[in-house]
Amino acid sequence: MSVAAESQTSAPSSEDRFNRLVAILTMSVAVLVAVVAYLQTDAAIRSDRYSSEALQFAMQASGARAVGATKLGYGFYTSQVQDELSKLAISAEASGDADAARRYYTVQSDLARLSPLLSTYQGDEARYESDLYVVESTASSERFAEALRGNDDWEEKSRAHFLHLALLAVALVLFGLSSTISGAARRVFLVTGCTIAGVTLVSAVMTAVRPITRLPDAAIDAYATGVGLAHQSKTREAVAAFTQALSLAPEYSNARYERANALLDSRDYSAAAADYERLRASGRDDANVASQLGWAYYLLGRFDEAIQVDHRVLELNPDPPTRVGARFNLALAELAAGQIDQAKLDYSQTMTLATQAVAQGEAARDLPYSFWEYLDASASDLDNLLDRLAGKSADWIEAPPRAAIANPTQVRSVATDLVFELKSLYFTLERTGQPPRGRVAAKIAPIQFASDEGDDEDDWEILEVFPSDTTSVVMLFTYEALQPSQSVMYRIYRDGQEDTSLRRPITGLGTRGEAEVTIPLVFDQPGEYMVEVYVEYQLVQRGRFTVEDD
Amino acid sequence: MSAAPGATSARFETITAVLIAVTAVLGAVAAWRAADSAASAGNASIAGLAATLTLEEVRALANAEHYQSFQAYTTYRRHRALANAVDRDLSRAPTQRTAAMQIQERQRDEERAMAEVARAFFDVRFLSPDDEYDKERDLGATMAETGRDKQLNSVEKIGESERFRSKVQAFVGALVVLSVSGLLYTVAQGLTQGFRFVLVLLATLFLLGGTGFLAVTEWLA
Repeated sequence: MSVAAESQTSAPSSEDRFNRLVAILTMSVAVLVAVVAYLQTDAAIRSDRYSSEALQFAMQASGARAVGATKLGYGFYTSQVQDELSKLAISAEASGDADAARRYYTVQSDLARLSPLLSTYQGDEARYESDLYVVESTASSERFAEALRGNDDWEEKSRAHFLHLALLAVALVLFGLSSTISGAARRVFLVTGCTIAGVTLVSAVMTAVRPITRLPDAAIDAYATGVGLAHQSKTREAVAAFTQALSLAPEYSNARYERANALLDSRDYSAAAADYERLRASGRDDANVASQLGWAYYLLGRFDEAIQVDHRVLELNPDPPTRVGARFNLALAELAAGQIDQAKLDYSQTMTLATQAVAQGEAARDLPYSFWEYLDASASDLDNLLDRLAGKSADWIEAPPRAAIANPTQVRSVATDLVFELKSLYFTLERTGQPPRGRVAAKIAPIQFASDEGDDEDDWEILEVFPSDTTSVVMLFTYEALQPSQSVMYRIYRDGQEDTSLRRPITGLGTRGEAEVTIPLVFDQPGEYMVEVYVEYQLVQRGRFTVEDD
Repeated sequence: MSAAPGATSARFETITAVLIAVTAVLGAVAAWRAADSAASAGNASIAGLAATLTLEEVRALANAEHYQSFQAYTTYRRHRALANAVDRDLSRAPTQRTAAMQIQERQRDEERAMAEVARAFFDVRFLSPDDEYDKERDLGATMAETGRDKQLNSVEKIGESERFRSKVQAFVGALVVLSVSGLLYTVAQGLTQGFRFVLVLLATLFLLGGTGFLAVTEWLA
């Protein structure tokens, strides 16, 4: 046999076989690199797309709110104009100038056509606002949040694939090194490279097939519709819309939270508590959820649970208004549970905290409006508790069942004192930025209300219930120990809510005597009224009357 | 006489090595084009977002300006309507001038004066002869003026960004196809039987496919 033939037929050496194996493995990993690079690119593109979408939705949401607020501002302006023309017409009628009244009413009808709020929406501000921008901006905001989540999820995949590429590069280096050295070491490099490549392949596959879920558009639309309905206080329809959103996306936590709020507003406290509990169980343990759950427990008469959850709210270190509100809720639950001493201590400490918050907030000009709402609500909640203890059952009273309240007699006494203290604190802080300095000496006897049919006291008809067309009542009271320099004001509540436009000073009082104060009311607003009289912004006396419904 | 088997094998290995090198070069081209397209996609995306932001800003500003004018028009209309109503009543009144009529005349004149004041605060070009205000024209003109020389068409830029993103995916896809080609050439190099020619053929098909995909993406997409 010739040498050429001999060389042709001899089998490849083990060295050749090893090198060819390394070459094949290298190319295989190169293919894997290309595939993983494709997956990484795809994930990065999707992440980038979601990021871009998120920004677009954020801009659309803020744009919708800005345009909507502008249109609403015009609507408020036309409402003001309408009210002015009404007043002028009524004044003209009272003066016997029917022609002038007619002219004012004619212009009023003419101008109403210019304003969608007045013409299409019949003055329904909440519905107008909802249609203008609430629903649209809510949907955009939700889509923004959803796109942000998508961006995060795909970015996480992209980063994982980057790691895979790095590991595959290491495997390639090991393969390359294995072909340059001899001995057992090169097998070690080869095996190590194969192991790294194998593990990376498995990891890459698991990353690629990991599902990324998105909220269905229909669920977001249903949620936005629910928010619009809740904005109009159409709580039952809102609950239905949120339920529809949850049927499409059972883990949609925003929809569950808003449904719970709507259920709370519609007095279905058990269902609301169930939703809040489910939210906390799913990991949404924030101050808002906990605070609402604590309130639901309180209204259900489950005071121990309310106290426990209110403590949790404070542990979560919420912002100052929420902190003050939570502390008052805690103290209220303790009071209703019969923990009188602890409740009084907590009320006292919270009032001190509120005073400090006002001092700091007013100095920095960053005290949010909601702080005052929480402070005022703390007194209203005590009033509601007192009403419940008195056996009242009006629609606007939010209080736990009477049977659940421990030690009613003591609770009533403590709550009455606390109401006066809280309202005095609120009003003094609001007007002066400082807490009350001691108790005022002025005394006011129980207030009576009369119809002002005549000009002097002989014509006063003392009433507790006034007819539906009442536009003013006369407040009668005797007073003593009043200082001439002290300010005297009254505040008016209707069905538990203050109408701040009716706040007025009372002037012309001496140090002692009898007062007759005419209180103008807003026409055609029946309900239960409470008038509170303040001396130096401290609550001294209050009285109630009712205006009948038509 | 046919070529020696050894020489054929050496020539085969040389050719496949060259083809692997060609595959590697084309792969590098695909990677370069993908990176370039990704950069273009990013730029177009930013331009699209900037256009969206500009559009929302224009809408907000235009609406604010429009309703400012419309509010002034409402005030004008209120005073003018009252002045006209008083004027109509005066025209129907008896000829003898009473004190009440004098008061009404003063009220009419005051309302006319207030109407003139308000008239100075909106654009009378949008006022029709019967004192109606063309809201749509005003808002349209205000939007157009506020949006002048501004890029408002985000859809076009976002569409452009999407096209570049698709190109990136296509280029990387071509890279995957070319890498398979490279793998098949390498495997073919390691074989000595006739099956290697099948692998080379397959690899060449992948190479041509990848190249074609690359070319189509570059020039036609």
